[in-house]
Amino acid sequence: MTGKLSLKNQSRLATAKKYSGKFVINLIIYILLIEFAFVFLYPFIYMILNSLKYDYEVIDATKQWIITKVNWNNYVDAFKGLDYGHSLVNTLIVVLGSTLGHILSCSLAGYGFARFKFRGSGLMFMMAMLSLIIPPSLMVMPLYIQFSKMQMMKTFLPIILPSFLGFGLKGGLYIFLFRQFFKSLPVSYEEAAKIEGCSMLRVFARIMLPIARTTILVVFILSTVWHWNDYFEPSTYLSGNQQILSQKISSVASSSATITSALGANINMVALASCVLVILPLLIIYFIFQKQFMEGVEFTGLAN
Amino acid sequence: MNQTTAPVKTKKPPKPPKAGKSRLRSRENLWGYLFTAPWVLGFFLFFAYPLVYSIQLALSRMADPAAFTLEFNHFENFINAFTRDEKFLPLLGQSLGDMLIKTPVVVVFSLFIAILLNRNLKGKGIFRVFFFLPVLLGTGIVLSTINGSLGADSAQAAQQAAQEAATGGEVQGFSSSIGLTSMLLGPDIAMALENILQVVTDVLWMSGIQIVIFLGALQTIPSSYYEAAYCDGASEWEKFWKITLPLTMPNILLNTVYTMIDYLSSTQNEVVKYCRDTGLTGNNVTFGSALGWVYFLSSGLIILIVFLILKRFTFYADE
Repeated sequence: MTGKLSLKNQSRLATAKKYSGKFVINLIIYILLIEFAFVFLYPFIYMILNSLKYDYEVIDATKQWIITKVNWNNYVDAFKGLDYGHSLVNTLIVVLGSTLGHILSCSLAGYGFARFKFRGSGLMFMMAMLSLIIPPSLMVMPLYIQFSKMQMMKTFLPIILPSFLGFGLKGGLYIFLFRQFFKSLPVSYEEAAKIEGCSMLRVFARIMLPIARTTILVVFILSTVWHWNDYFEPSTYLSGNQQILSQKISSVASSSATITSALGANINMVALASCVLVILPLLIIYFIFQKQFMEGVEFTGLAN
Repeated sequence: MNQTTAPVKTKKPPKPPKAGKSRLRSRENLWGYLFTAPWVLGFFLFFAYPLVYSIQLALSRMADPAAFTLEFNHFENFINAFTRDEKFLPLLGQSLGDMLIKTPVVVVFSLFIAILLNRNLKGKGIFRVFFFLPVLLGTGIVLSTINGSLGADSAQAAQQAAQEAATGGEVQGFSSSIGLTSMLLGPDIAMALENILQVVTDVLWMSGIQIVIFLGALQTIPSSYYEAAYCDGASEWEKFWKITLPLTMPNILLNTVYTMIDYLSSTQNEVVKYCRDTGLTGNNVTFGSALGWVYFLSSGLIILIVFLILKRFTFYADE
């Protein structure tokens, strides 16, 4: 009897030990994760804090993390400097246009590569992946000449048109994502539809695209965000009143004062405020779709 | 249609399956080409033609800039890239060296974070959202605006702290870690520490996608492997080296190549910017193209070498 009890106690002690060990490990992991998360978030905190400061607070070293009086004037200046309404419309045209193009062309091509074994398909897919590796510095000059020969300079077409044909900013990646997704679907979906007498195009539009909505969401968010932030292509092709938001930041930065803080940092509050204004729509989109997006990212071929 | 033709052709035994198959094949070909038609058009317009044209540009001299007429001048642009241009080679070397240092750090860091996130923790969803944020916002002008001031921040602050320490002046920056470390360890070490911190921030900001890829890989490892190892009394450390690492090796290879390509084709990259500025702003398209090719070929060679080396250490589970 007593032996049994002590055995029970022993096992209890062991489990208790195990749990406390697990607790300590989890605590360490939490601390590490919070630390890394802080490093990830630090630039955002830094940006938002400094965009709200008056210059005398930037200079004051004791107020690096505190704001006593919020200075909204930075945001007013940034709003004017960015020409926010006009630039936002330009940005939306460029971003939504090329995102729509990417979704259409890359889903078609991805489906073609996933489902049909046609002559040269392997080589073609390899080429699509190769287009991801070629650095933009190589392509930008011939493309610039080509677009000026095609009379497309001073329009949004040099950015939008390639995305409708499966190229443009990281087009190859989206083809890859769609191909991975369609490959993972069983062929029986289409066979059932084929028996019903649907053509392949109708099968694609009516059955495959609705199933692929998670992948479409992932491509939509990635393409939107990357086009929104991209500075390289717009600054090559767009000028004057066609400039988009990301281009305008540098002109705001050069026209507003930079202050050296007590810690020696060069802080341009208006430029930081304009950064906040530029990425604000993106942050809103991201946090609305965040759950579906993270699920989608893990679900699509990105993880495999 | 197949059914009506089949009985006619049964007289020649070997043919009917072949004919049916080829018809099926040609239909599959047709649909394949139809679905990829937009991409094929784009391939010629925005990839093959510009690529060939850029080779032509790199090997030529602009005879008449207004009409874009070219004059072949052998490898003069390439020779000039190595002999005349003072800025290009240092930039190239710096960029490639930077890539070689940062890539392993990015891969190790992202694997580490992925392993942490893969444990059953409460609130890991929130951490995932944070860790993916840089993928979304870390590209483009926003980051360089923030980073520009951040970079200046650490370097200059360390300098100033060093000055303050030297003059014996009252150090105000107790709130700043730099001031404190500088007082405790001396300015040089503080500077070095700050540089490391800067690199760590850079590295973490590059590793969003890699974390997701590793997370996906870790989730595919069957838990029975770990259970078996647990029964045999393996420690966490042994489990990592004997199970986790070999099974994620294909993803380590993928992530290494991805990180290098991402770094090299990033429009934030100094060499990429320099090539474009020489070509377009500096009105020297032919020379800029040559610089672009030198950059692409040298970086491609490094990626290929790294790929081949890592490939030797990689085995696939289904082999």
